[in-house]
Amino acid sequence: MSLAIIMLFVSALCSVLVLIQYRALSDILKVFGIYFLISNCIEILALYLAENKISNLFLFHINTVIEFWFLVIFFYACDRKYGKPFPLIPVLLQGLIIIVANSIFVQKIDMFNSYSATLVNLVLLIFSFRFFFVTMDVDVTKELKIVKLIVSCLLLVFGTSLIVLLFSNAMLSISTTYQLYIWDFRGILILSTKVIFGLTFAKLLFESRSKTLQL
Amino acid sequence: MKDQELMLTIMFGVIIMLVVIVITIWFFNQGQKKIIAIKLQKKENELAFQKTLLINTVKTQETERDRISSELHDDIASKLNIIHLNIHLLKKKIKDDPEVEKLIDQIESSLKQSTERTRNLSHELMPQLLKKFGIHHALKEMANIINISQVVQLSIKSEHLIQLNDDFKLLHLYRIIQELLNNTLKYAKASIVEIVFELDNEFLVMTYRDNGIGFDPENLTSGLGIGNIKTRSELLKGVYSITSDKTKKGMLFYLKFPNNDQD
Repeated sequence: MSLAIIMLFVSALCSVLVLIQYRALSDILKVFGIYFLISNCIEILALYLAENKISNLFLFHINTVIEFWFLVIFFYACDRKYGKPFPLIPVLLQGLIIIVANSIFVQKIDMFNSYSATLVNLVLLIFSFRFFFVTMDVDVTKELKIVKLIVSCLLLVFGTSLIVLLFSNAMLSISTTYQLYIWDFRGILILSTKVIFGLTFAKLLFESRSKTLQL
Repeated sequence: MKDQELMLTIMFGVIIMLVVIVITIWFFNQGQKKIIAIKLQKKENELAFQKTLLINTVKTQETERDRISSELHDDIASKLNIIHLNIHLLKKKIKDDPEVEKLIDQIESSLKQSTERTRNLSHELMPQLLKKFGIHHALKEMANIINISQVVQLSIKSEHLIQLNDDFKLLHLYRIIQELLNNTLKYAKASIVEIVFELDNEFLVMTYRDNGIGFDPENLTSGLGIGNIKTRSELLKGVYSITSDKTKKGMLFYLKFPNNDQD
């Protein structure tokens, strides 16, 4: 079974878990749940297009916008609950302008948007570190534990993706086999975090069976 | 070869990044644990301070009550008695003037009421029986007063209380019973109240039971004197529980505290 099929299966399963659990989730987890759901749908669509030899590069442009918007809102929701919130609208608009400008003028829709993706990764890395810093003196609750686990996984994904994206142009000069090793390595890491997210939502599902969840 | 080198460089960069992130997360978690431990310690210190403050307040309150009670009983009540006696003598001497006699009667009546009120107040502040003859007699007297009303039948089995010889502890115990009885008479509509003291090794166990309408223990407020009972139970270094059920009726208060703990 190829990594793509496993990814497809895990993404679908995790999406179902989020859908079942959605009503019982707190506001913060709802935002992440929506992002997770859309991101999984885009991934499934991208895999489907790739399997059918159709270009899926435009999906990366869409994914970058969605990833940036939803995760910034996610960190904003976290800040609202655990710290001092940052100005949401200016951050969202500035990010959107940069991503769209890159897609229109620099790396067009039929190209891989490595520049804006790198920038988004960097911004989200900063937000992740900021979240850990802000919540250092916050009492640990069940919800905070889950959110911290999610942010830890996001940190790992964005951190490693940042390195891969920084070298993405240089990677074009090496053979496809080596390129695939790197992308597969990143893919395995993303898959692992998806499994962790899936297990977290599954745990919530089991807990909500016995009692009403108050996150 | 160049391709492989570039791939290994990227992989190495990714692994370094992973290690850095894991260390950073660990650092933040450790930092958080330390901060929370400090916060917890601070909170515990504050609680301990508040508890000490509360204990000292109760002790000071009791000492002051005792002082005022003694003043009322030994000084003011005695002086009122002397005045009463003198007025009685005066009344005997003045027999000719009915108006003066009437006035003296009024003064005598007011004086009698004042003396009675002073005595009661002194007793409320610090039961003299408790002070002079111990809790056994004080409780017996309490039962007698309540049983006279024939609304509530109070029975007290306090033989084991002889084991307790700390005046402050006896006073706290007496106040707890006073508070519980007060609540029963005010709210419970009970006809029977039973107080039993039992020995359990080094501990004394008090059970207070009434057959009233009961209440929801979760809705208990400090207005019912629960705060007072809690503080005094803590002063006795005891553990307590209140069991009641609206449907089954009645209330059970359980208190277990060390028998002869000298502090």
